[in-house]
Amino acid sequence: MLRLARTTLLLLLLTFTTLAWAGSDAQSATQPVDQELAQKSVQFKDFAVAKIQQLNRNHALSRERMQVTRLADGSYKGLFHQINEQNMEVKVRRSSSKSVPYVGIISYQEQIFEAQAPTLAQLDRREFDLVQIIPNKHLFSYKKGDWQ
Amino acid sequence: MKKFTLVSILIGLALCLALPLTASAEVVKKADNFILFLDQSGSMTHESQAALGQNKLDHAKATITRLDQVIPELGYTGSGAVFAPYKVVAEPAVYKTNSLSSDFASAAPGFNLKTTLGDGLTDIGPLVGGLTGKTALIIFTDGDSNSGSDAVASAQALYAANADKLCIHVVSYADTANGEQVIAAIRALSGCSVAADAAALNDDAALAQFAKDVLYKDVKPAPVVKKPAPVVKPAPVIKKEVITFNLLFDFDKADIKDEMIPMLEQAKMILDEEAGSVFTVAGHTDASGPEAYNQGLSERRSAAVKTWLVENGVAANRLKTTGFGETQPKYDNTTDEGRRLNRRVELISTPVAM
Repeated sequence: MLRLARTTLLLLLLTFTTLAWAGSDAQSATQPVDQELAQKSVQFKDFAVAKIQQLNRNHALSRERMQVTRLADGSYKGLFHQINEQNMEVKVRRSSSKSVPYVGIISYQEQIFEAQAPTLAQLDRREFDLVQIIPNKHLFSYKKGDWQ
Repeated sequence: MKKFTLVSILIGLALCLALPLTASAEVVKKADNFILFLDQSGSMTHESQAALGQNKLDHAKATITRLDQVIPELGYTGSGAVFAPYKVVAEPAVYKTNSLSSDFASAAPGFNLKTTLGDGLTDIGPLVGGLTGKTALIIFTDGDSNSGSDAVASAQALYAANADKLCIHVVSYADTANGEQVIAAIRALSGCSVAADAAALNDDAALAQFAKDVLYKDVKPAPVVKKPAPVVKPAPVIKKEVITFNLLFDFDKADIKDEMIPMLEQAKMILDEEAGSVFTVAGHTDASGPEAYNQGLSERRSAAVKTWLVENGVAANRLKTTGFGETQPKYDNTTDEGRRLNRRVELISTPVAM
């Protein structure tokens, strides 16, 4: 009886081990082959976040550099651009160049906001409306170990 | 049949004309409840010195009957009671016009002929306290409180027990100095009290005015303020797509270098995906250097980009070129970072009408 139990146990253990081994083989077959590309994608995502912040910081019509126009009725109209950081998308692909092995694309929305108010002080406190969207694709190259 | 129809129409017209015109003003209750409180003491059975034409009690019952006909149905809780001795003759109920006066028909002085106004005001305490909202207590009395507790003190206690929810109004049948004094003192306990003398209420208009002063008021309807239509903000306009890349041309050069090709290839892939669009290849510079020089440089560089794209499979008629020089800076030219970003090439799409 004891021998039978031991044999059964061994057989079960063998079965589970075989199944687990087969499973891991199957799993490894579906894993992405291009680990480097995946790595560069992660890197590019970090680059993209910083790049969008840089674009917003330097935009000639950023919120801090709002375009203000005096209207015929004496009121003020304000306008500024802002890139939407929330819905940007990134994509990286390999290129055939040895010096520039990767190209990255950041897709984002450049949003234009407007508001109107009787005084400048009120304009500053006013809630701005989104009036225009400019879809953008910004291309970058990976060169000498860095995105540029 | 024709006669019947004609008669029906005439009756209908008559009814319409007979119905009172609805007031243009809105009527608002001053009280939620009212109690008609009748003094049925012995002194009320005396003939009044005023020209009432009947004894005070009968006159009071008749006045109550007439008042019962003019109080509007505004959802009051109406009730009735008598004192000397005290008894509730009509339990609190939703008031209907002409529903209370019959409850006072049997009012008559009891064996004890003394006027116990003070005790009556004490006895009515629970009835007043059990009502919700504001209550108008309308007392029909000659004020001769010659027995029991002090009438003014009892009225004071009743006010104290009911905070701002009570107003005591007295229809005076006083024909003695003492009665007048007691009634005046009770009326003076609160600024809300409406005074009325029995004889004056013989006049229908005065009676109607008394009922109005005690129980309701006309309110001009508030002007109808039209709510402004909700502002529907228009959806943002979607502008032309812009593809930007910063090609690192050599200084004062417009030559396409090998290291630029991966980005140009990527740009071409995007153009291939958007086969229905025409693109403007726009060259931009920063603000360093003379404007005319920058203008020329940007034109040469945009032309170089177009040439490469055409040579690599993009239809020439899908590409226009322009140079903006330093005239359309997208970024701040006062910083190195901004100037670097301004040195760019843009492909601006224009969908072709199908």
